[in-house]
Amino acid sequence: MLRTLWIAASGMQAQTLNIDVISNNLANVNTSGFKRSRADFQDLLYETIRPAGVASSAGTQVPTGIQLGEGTRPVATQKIFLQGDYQHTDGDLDMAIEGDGFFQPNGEVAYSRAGAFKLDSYGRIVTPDGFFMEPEISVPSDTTKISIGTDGTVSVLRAGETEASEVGTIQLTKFTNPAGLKSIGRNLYLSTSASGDAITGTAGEDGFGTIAQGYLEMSNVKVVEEMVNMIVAQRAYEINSKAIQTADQMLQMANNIKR
Amino acid sequence: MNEAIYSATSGALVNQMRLEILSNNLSNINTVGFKEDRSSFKSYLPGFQDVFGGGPKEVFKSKDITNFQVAFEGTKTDLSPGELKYTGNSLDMALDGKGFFSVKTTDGIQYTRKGDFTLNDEGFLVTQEGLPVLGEGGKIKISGQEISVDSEGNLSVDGTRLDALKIVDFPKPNSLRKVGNTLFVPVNHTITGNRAKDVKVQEGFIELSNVNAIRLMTEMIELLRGYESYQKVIRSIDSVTSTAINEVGKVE
Repeated sequence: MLRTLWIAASGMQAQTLNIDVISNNLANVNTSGFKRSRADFQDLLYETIRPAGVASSAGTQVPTGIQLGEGTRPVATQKIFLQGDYQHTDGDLDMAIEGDGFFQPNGEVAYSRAGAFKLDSYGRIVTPDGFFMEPEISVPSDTTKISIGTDGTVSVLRAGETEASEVGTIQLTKFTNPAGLKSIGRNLYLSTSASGDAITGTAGEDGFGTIAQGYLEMSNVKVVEEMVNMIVAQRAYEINSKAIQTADQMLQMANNIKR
Repeated sequence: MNEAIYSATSGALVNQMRLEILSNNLSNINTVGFKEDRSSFKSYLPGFQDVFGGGPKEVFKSKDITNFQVAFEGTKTDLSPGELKYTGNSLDMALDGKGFFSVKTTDGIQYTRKGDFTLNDEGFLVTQEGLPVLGEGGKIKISGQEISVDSEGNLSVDGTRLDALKIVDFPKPNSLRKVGNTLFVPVNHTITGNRAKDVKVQEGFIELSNVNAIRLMTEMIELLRGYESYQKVIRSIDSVTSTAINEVGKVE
């Protein structure tokens, strides 16, 4: 049978994955703190049918040889940690990180860029899923105003008081290779051996970004770009299917030689 | 038997091989840094050469007259540049001009045009496969925030120059062969690359596959129809032979 069938099938499978990645990006176009992914491909091994450089006769050599590629395969889906745009929300507990860094909403286990925090019944600052921050920060029940500094200092103004009091500091985490983080959904990432160990620090220092209160970082997915990627992926899928059709027709012709 | 049937078969087989090469190009139409393979053929025309040697009579004398065959000669990688696409990622690099990035593998240094690099857990600049990218001073370890690469390939971290990317060019065409994973190696060990001169590094760009879909579609139609014609020739020869066997000697 023609190798084309399998070679082109590998191309179609790769483009299916490409579309999967693109559609997940598009599904999260309004998810705050979401980072888009990109599928990355490589060519497969080459079968050397006739090696280049071997002697073809005395004193001459084959200049090019025959190398037959076996198709393509996905090698990575890479998270692109480019900054998303900011959206002004006025929410006291909405925070965006301007620059590098992650919030630690799940007790040094998981990390996030999504900054839409809430208060739970104990007054703790938690994510919409109820994970509190590490270190835990609680706000007294008679608080009238919460203010968060660019360095992550959380101060509250309590009823009947004129001066704000500090209740804690939001710490940020960064990684040598954020693209190596593992996404676990809910806007959370886990550290892996590829991302390197978490480096904890204060916002605004040692290369950490600063915290902007009253803003949310929007998804960094750009619809136009994803639409273009989708067109490219679909057409690539289509053209690989044409190669399969061609191979099929050729086999049919071959079968028809013998009457 | 009519030996022309083998000539037609050789033509059909070559077109089959062309389709296989072509479909590998098509399957890599979205592979960053991929370079298209082109196929070339050679013909065995011993009788035809005699025309120039000993006059037309020789053609008919030659025993190889029916041996007009075509064979696959080789694949040649088209190293023409692919289009550059802006990504904004500081670790995406594309080469504008001739040259290759050098990466360290277990089989020695190999070369690639696929510049969508990343960092590993130790902070080394690596390919998506995890192979370290080489600078003039060996592996490149990046510890810092702002990574920037100028057009000469000098890599700076937070404003301090760290190393220059080892970008190598190979003088002769056809001196490289593909080993998969978008990597190239010299065809033999005696070929060594020189430091690339006429090349610019574009940070934040990736080089797309240089596969030209329109040209390949046209080629696919052409080879399919060519294949069809060869089948028709084979059938015609078959029916001629059939007539010779079954009809010529028939006694009414």
